[in-house]
Amino acid sequence: MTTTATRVEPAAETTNTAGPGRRRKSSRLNRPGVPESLLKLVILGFAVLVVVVPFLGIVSTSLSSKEHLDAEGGFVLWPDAVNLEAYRSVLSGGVVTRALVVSVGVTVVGTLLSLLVTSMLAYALSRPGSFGSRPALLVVLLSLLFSPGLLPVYLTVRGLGLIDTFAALVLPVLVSGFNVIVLRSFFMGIPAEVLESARVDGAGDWQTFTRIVAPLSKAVLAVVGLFYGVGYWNAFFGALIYLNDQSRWPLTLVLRTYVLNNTQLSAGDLSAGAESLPAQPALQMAMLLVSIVPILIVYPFLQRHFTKGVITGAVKG
Amino acid sequence: MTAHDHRLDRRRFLGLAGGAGLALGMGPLAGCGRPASPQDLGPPVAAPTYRPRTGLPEPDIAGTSDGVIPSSYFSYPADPVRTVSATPGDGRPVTILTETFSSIPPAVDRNSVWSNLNARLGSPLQIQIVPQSDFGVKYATTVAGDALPDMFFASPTPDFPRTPELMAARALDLSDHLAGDAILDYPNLANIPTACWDVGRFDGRIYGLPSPRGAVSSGIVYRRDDLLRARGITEEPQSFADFRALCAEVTDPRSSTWALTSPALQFIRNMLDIPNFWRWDGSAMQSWWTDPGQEQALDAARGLFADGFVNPDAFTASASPKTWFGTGKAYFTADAFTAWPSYYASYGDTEGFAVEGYEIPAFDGGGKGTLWLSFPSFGFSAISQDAADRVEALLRIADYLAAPFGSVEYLAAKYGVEGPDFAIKDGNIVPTKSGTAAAQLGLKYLVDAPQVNFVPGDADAARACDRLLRELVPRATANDAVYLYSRTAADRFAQSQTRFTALETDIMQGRKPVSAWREEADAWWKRYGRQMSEELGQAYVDAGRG
Repeated sequence: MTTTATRVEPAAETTNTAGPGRRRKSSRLNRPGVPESLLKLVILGFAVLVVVVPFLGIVSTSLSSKEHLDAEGGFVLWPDAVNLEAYRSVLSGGVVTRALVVSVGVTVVGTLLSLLVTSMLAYALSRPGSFGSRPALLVVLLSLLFSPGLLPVYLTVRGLGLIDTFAALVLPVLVSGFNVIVLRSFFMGIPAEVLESARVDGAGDWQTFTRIVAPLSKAVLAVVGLFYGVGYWNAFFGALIYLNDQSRWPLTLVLRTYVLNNTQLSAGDLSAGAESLPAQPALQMAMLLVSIVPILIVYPFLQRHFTKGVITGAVKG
Repeated sequence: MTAHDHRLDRRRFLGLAGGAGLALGMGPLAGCGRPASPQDLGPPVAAPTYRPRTGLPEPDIAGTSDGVIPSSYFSYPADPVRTVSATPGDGRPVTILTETFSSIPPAVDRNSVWSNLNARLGSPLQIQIVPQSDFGVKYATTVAGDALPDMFFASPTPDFPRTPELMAARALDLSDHLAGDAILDYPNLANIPTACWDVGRFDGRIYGLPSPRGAVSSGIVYRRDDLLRARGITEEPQSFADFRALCAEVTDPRSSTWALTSPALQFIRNMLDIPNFWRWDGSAMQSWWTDPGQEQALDAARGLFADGFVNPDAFTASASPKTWFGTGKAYFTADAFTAWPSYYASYGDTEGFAVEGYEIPAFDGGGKGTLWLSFPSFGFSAISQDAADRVEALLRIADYLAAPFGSVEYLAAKYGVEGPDFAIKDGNIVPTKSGTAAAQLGLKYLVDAPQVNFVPGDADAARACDRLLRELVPRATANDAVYLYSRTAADRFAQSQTRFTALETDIMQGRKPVSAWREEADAWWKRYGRQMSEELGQAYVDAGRG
């Protein structure tokens, strides 16, 4: 058996471009030192605390008893005991549960419709020579520059007979000019050869869009879908002005009445010895958490799509 | 930017567009400004006759005959009287737009208070309940879209100042039904004091239904009597210096306890006898903003904050003055008389809990200050012209909703059904948890009964509140321009108030010097104030008050 002793040159020295008289710095110096690591730890730890502590306070306040909240002045960081009265009050009576269903429905339906219409428009605008693409693109760009204002939109919605309907929460905001531009730019980046090959194979525009373009655009569609989804979930102003029936209000508008209308109930509403509602801070924090839990549940499933990056291409060049 | 954005800065555009929208919505009256002069409408109609209801349960302490100081009740009458004999509604739905300061109630299919009221009224109420913070926008879009419901809360908001024009164009003139003795067809409405009806009068005609408030909505400074007694403090301050010393004595930041939940600026202004918005001096209207005492008041308030006697979070969005006061983290808080029973309701189970209100000393001592008397009515509601064919039915419904304390109708409108919504225990109305939420229908802002002093479960607290009312109200100063119309004030008062409120906050927190107030006040007077003063002064004389 022979052994071969080979002197292994450090990788840095084999690529030394600084000349024969200079040595590349040791890779040891690429690792941060202890003081630097500690500094990063402190800064990042502080940033984490700034985010986590208020959130912890919200959760704890929502789970605290009235007595503990009174003793702590209305906000606690750690409850002395878990008290679910605030959640029972918020979820009983049907107001919040119904609002939650409305929000989920509007968000899901609205997001799907918005994605469909926006992507179709963006694809049409990305194809050179499409009929009417220039004027349509101009309209989209103009919508980015200014808005007609709330009253013209309201009067249009009213004229279409959409007042007090769920369609009023979706149709007026169905297409975002910004998202159209984002998708159009992405579609224009798809190699023409990909689309040509589809056309050669006999695919029409619809087949090309659904079978070639859409699958290649999952990442950007996920991003735009998240933008739309969060927008629909958080929107309350449209519901305020278009919906007259409170039973159709989405969750965010109901949340608003709990958080902003924080006046404690007046003399005509409460009596000593009444079956009192939980403390106002607990009710408000419980309401906050109920409204953000659905987004917290959905987001991790969408996040992986963002890490895929842009299209890798179906054509190797 | 996404199409989902309805940014708040559009509210300003909405305010301007709302005026344009109103012009569009007003049809042939667009561009005419005030649509008619008083001469075109004939002489002003007589005020509704005030006829207090008889046959009601006797109060424990009778109020004044003019209704300014309310009657006091220590318990709810055991045998509520019936004040409405016939079903008031006409069977058709009644659409309503009103605001709320509470969370929204369950929908009518899950709301026994609402469904019970519908059955009693004989007409289902379809109520749009809008959060108070958003009411201005909703109101403006409703008007612009020509979608006013049958009855709607109509008080001016910063987003929509042109109320007289709107009333003339879209609201029903109720003069024929309510002026003079005509109101006697609606006995509960006639039970509302005369001063309250001015809120809904424009060009001498009656357009609005009031929600009486008056003295009980006036602001005072409360004290935690139990906490003060525990420290051996029993005397009331006789001057601002005394009050300041008291604040210093009770403040203890180490235990997160401060004297005040806010700098109590109004209390200090009361000590200095600063006008209640406007004061008629015999020949002209004087504004509170230009009063020489303002700088002294602001300096005093600034000193309280600078010396650490005020909760440091007093000016933040998370300020919770009621919670701080109720939990003992503050000894004094500024609030209205109406808050008295709510403190007991929320914190009365704390051992020894006791609140009282301070009398108002003169700033330098040796006398008394003056309470600012609150408005006689919390806004008003109007009836749409589109509902003219059923105005009597709507007024009968309003009459039901205005049923006085001690009546069967009052219980139904405010508490619901005995059993599922409330119980009566030892003379107290004890709402259930579901009943408390279900009763928040906002109808008390549409029309309401005269207020009473009712601290259920605590007769001593009711007596204390009554005593303080009788001590302060006779010397109270009212806003001499209340319910008078000025075009400049309608257009500019809200924005002026926003500017002055922001300046107050800056001065009290030390960000601007006290001298900045005089500069702002002088500039405001030249720009808008003098014009407002002249218009309001003329209106004061025209109204026969001067």
